[in-house]
Amino acid sequence: MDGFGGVAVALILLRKTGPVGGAVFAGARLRPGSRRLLAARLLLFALAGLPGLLVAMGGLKGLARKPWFTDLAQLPAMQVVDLVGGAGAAMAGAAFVTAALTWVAGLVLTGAALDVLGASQERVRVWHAVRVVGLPRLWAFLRIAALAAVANALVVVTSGWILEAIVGHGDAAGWTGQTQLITLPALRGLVVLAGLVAFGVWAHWTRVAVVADDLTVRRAVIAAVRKMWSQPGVAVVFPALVGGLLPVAGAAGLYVWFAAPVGGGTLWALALWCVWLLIQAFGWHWLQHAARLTWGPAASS
Amino acid sequence: MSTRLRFLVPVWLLAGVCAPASAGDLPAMSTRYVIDAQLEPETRELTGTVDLTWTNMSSEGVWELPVHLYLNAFAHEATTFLREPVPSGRRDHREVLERYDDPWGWTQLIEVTQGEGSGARCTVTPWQPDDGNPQDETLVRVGLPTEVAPGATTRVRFQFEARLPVPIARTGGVDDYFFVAQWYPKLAVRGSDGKWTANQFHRATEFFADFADYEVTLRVPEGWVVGATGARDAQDSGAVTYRQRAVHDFAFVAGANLQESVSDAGGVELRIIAPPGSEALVERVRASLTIGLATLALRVGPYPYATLTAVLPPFRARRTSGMEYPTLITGFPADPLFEAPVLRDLVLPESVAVHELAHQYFYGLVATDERAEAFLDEGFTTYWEGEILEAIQKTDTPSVGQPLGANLDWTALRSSGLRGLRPAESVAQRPAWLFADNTAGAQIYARTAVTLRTAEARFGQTALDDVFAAYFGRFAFAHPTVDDFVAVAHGVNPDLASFLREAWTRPDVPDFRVASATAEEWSAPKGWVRGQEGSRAKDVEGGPALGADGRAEVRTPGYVRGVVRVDGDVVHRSLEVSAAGETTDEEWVVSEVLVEGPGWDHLPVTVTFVFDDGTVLEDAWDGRAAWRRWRFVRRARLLRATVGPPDVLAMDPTPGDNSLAVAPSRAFQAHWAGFASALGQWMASGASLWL
Repeated sequence: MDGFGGVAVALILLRKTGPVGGAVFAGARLRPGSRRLLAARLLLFALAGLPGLLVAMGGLKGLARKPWFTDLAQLPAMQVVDLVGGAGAAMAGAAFVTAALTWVAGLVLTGAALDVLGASQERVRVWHAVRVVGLPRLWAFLRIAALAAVANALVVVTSGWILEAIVGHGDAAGWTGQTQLITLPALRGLVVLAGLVAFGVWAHWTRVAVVADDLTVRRAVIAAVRKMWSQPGVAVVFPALVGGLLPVAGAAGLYVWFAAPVGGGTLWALALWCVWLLIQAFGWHWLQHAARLTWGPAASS
Repeated sequence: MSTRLRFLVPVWLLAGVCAPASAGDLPAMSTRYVIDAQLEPETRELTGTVDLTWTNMSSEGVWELPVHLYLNAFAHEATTFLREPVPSGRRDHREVLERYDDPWGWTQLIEVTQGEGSGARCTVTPWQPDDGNPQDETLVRVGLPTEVAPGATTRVRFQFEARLPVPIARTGGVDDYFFVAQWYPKLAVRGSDGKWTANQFHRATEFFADFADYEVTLRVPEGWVVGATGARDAQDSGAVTYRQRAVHDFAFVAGANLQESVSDAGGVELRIIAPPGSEALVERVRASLTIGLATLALRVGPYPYATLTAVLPPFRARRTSGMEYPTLITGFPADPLFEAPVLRDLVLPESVAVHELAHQYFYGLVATDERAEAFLDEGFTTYWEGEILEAIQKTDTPSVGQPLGANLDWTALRSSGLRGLRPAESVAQRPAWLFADNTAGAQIYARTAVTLRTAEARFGQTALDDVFAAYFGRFAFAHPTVDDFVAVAHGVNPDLASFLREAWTRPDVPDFRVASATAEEWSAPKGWVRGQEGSRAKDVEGGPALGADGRAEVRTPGYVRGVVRVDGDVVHRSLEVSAAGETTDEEWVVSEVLVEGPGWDHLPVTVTFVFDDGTVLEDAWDGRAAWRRWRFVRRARLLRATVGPPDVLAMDPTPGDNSLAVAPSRAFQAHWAGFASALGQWMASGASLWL
């Protein structure tokens, strides 16, 4: 309830910040081209998932012949361990293939969306925007992602060193195991998550600046920081909320799938997952639309 | 916080013996320790005297005594203990050494004298019979000025100074908590043949000493809680005396911030010492130990001592947890960590407690040589840990808990530890501290335990209980070997003994595998085939000759055992029908199954074949050949083949390949492949928000 209360307060504050805050709420509305963008995002996720699905099906074929795994609708712990040992590499490979294809194609679509959602005319051409804006901006977006990844890696490594030093001191001082192995690592996890979200917000505005003002990455980096500094509510809080809550919701959906019994449970898990895919597509759209409304008119189209 | 106390030396020996425990009499001892020691928490120092009274029970005179100074294992990094590899399942000590400025510990003999009064001075010489490491001083030879003739008794007084390490492994302390084990000069074991069993302190193995009577006076800061081996006999300001007859070690705990609770567990005084705030954990441990004592008393033999003390150490001293001493055990660390989600769903506190309890029987009372044959203690104890968990959980198969709702089967967890056990070595090889790196834990604990569970499944719990009861009854206080145990087993059931002997002497772990299972439509052979009426015809259609349900072509290779050679064969015979299906007019199908086995002599299995018409066939296989192949021609398709039964194959480290279906389960593939794809989509979604 506290989390929801915090979200509600944040949204009220955003609304109260006037026209800029209003841009966040206006961003939730669909406009010409939105439906095509949403459909494109969902289609992209579905198609990009197919190669990984086929890889995983092949990797699981051997285990699928073993009643040790298939006789029980829900796997006991040792069978889960054996599943990871026997097909973990194939499943991980499938996940990474899916993630890579989906993410890269998603970057192209994001470039097109930032252009389409900032266009002033009523009639927009989504696939045209993909060819003319999305694809040419892909290299810039990849460089932005690399910068964000390096920044996050620094946060992960530095926080790890600090944690290790603190735990070492704490162990000698007689701190409880709960403090050393749960509380402190959880705090570190929050720091890492905050870093992911913060650098994710910065990367998001950098992409917006690249498309909206046709800036180079170097200039867009600075423009994004200026934006975040000048309008922390709409430029930081709102994207941070989306960037924090959507993956958490997805993680819950994944857990449901993991724990679901094979057979009937698979269908329910799939249905729930499709709902999450819809939600994350809408959240993505909301983020890009609100960003364009906040930033200003499109540079092209 | 610490208080310097007066130093008192009790100079008289008890004339009588302690009252026997309620469960039975304890045998008379030829060795006695009277120890007086003072603990200084600020410096971690322990000073005192040991008065050892020892009778030479052998037929040869003795001029020197091997004595263990175990704390010297923690003196520096080049000791045998600290330089040997850490066995799998045991904790690495390096991180502890890095966290403290001065983590080290040692024992120094100030003076050793023989005889009454001030006595004659003895010589002390470090000795490294195992590895010749000159920097290891965990074993010394005490040269006696006067020979101890056969049957004669001598008195040797040790004046010692020791420094306890920080808790690196099993013993140590810091600030206001000390668990003190292996702290006093301890005599090695002399057999009736006159040979000493005296080894240095090794990483992979534990301790071996002879039974004795103990009277120990401990001087600790006032107000500290003390728990120790035996019963508390007297307590004075800052000094507490414990007595225990017929044990082979003495350990104690002392701490400022501890609580003690006492209960009666079927006539045994059960004391549990833990930090404050651990009440819930204390109750879990109390309940499990009470059931454990009852289970062992019923199935192995009565616990002969009056007391049992369980210490649940604070997290900082977790490296002293999970250890056994006579009438004193250390259980799982008491820490709020283990009330966290997932961890609280595991029965780790109970399993550690009952494991250490079971040690009282095999380490404590039967007292086999830990260095030479560690599996006779650790493996037996691990087996009984599972049995007691079954009693606690009221089930046939013990569970380690339900993390995230998924049952963690105890036997499956143990046997999984045998995977990839390379190189293959037999459990009974000696000494135990020379197993290949990272395999000692799996060999000594898991392999022995699952072997016993297999024996239980094959020969029945009653038979195995009879073996343990007879072994305990005959060899308590007697330091038996594996040959003694197998001889006892032979007296109960010769086949059981043969199985155990094979299981413990073979280097390999038995691994069965259904290597292939196929089903294809039968087709008539091309060419000129002679029909049943006697004439040949070309490309004849019709049914196969081998068509009677249940009959199989069974192909088994030969094998050789030493000079004995058994030939293989191909036979056609009927298999046992455990479920009859419905006859159909379906097409004929050729189904073939290949099962590979370890080629053991005493591990027969049953192979089960399930067909799509509902028929289930079984074939008993002695498992002595390397493989066996079955071929069926039936109006039904083979669905799967299984080697079992599963409880007989508890030793099989890869139960997943003990059954194989002809066709994969599409639902299984779809579920987990879908999960992998969903995971990728989630990662992509996160990446699009965070990168």
